[in-house]
Amino acid sequence: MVYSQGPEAVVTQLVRQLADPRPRDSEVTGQLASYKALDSRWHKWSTVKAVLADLASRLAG
Amino acid sequence: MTLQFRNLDFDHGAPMDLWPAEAIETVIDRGSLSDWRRLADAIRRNPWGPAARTAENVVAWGEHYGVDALMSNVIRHAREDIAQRGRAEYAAQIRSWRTQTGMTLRQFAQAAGTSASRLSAYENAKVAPTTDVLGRLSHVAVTHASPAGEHVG
Repeated sequence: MVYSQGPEAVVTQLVRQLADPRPRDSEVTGQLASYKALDSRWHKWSTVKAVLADLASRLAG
Repeated sequence: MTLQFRNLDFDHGAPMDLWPAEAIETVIDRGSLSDWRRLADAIRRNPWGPAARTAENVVAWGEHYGVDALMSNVIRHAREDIAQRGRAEYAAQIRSWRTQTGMTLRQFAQAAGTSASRLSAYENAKVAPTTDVLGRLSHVAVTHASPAGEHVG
């Protein structure tokens, strides 16, 4: 669902999703280590979420 | 800032700490990134101020996808930054006190009834001392002060 309209709609929605990512295929978030060539630092969903949240905060900075 | 506040009469140019709570709620509920940036700035400037406290209450409702998490992070980091700055100020003061005495970390810690590792944590701003410990450290600094910065006795 896209909440806002206007010139900032896309970046606003991006920040929402970065701040609180909710992938529909949430099962895969527990299986990241099974992806080919994915750097080990991205194997934990909690790490991914923390990095995304930090990015969202920076965009709101 | 493109938000409309049909039911509120206030100065939109004023700092957000002076805004009515409903306006802050509107920013969170219907704002876009530029509105959130302004709110985040207000929170960072005054992490325990009115805007931050209103935002804290509003995001606790859990009704604003993404913004709740975003503002929670902004509030937490802003408050952590304040705490870290406080610890850094204590750290500098404690290190200065110890330098005045010319004591080693271990000697100063022992005289104040704490451990060297704990004192090191204070001096490196890892933790803040209680007022009780702070008083003891201050007392040791005063009673063991050496003009040349060399430990006496």
